[in-house]
Amino acid sequence: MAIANDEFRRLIETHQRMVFSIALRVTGDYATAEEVAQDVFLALHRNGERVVVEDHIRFWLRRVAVHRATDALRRRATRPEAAAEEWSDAHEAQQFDGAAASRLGIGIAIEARLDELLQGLPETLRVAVVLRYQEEMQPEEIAVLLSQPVATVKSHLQRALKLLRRKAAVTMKEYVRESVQRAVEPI
Amino acid sequence: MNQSKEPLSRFEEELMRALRPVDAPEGFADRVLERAAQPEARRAKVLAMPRRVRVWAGGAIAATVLAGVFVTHEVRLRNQRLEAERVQQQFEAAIRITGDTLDDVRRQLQQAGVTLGN
Repeated sequence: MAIANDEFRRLIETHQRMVFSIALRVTGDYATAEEVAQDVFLALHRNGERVVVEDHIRFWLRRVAVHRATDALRRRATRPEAAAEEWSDAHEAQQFDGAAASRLGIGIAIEARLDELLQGLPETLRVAVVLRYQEEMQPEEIAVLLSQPVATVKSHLQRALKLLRRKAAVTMKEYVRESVQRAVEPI
Repeated sequence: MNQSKEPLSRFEEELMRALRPVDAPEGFADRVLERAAQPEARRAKVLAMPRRVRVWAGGAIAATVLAGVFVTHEVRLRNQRLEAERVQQQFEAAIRITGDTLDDVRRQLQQAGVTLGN
């Protein structure tokens, strides 16, 4: 038995931001994220009678969103999964939109860049980071959601942070250098 | 659950700000409700099984195929065994008939006064 329409709309409106954000940050693609998020809610609609408690719905939606998003990512495979160790500084520098950063200001530029750098992380690390820093979940909660040992989740988070820190440092050095060059250039 | 709430570093705080949840696209709820009302779309999605279901389905199909191969093999062995038994029975019957016939011939020859060697 599916959920009644009014109740279903309420659930979508309550959780759409969370589900869409997880899908977007994991897949890195707006259209794919919407498709994934829609699929997640349709699955909820079909399984409505089994997911009744609000906390359980939230947990269920997060779990299904992560699984569907990673499935979509693998299907799409337009962004080949780079091994963390294979990250190339040159490639990262090439991707960085310095002009956009200068328009945004340094604080926002860092944030925009971090969001972008996230897409270069291997899938498992990316999922852990999204759940920890977007959903503000504790490692123990992430471990339950992903059915992984807590130690694995913590290890993924540590690796992800290390990689992001390193890449962010490279990026910001370039950003500062470009900003200084622009400042000293004659008008 | 014993959850560790360790203080966040500055970098982690930046990361948290960078990864603020974003709004779903305009009209998202309406589109989901529209899709939920379409049985065709839902059927299509049922066919596109999630990975976990695919793994289970794949396992079930593999197990069924293996069971089928095993049963076929067993049936073939049983048929071969039955056939062998049938041939054995025919052979024994033939030997028995031949022995009886030879005994008759020997008896008739003895009555006629003919003695065979050995």
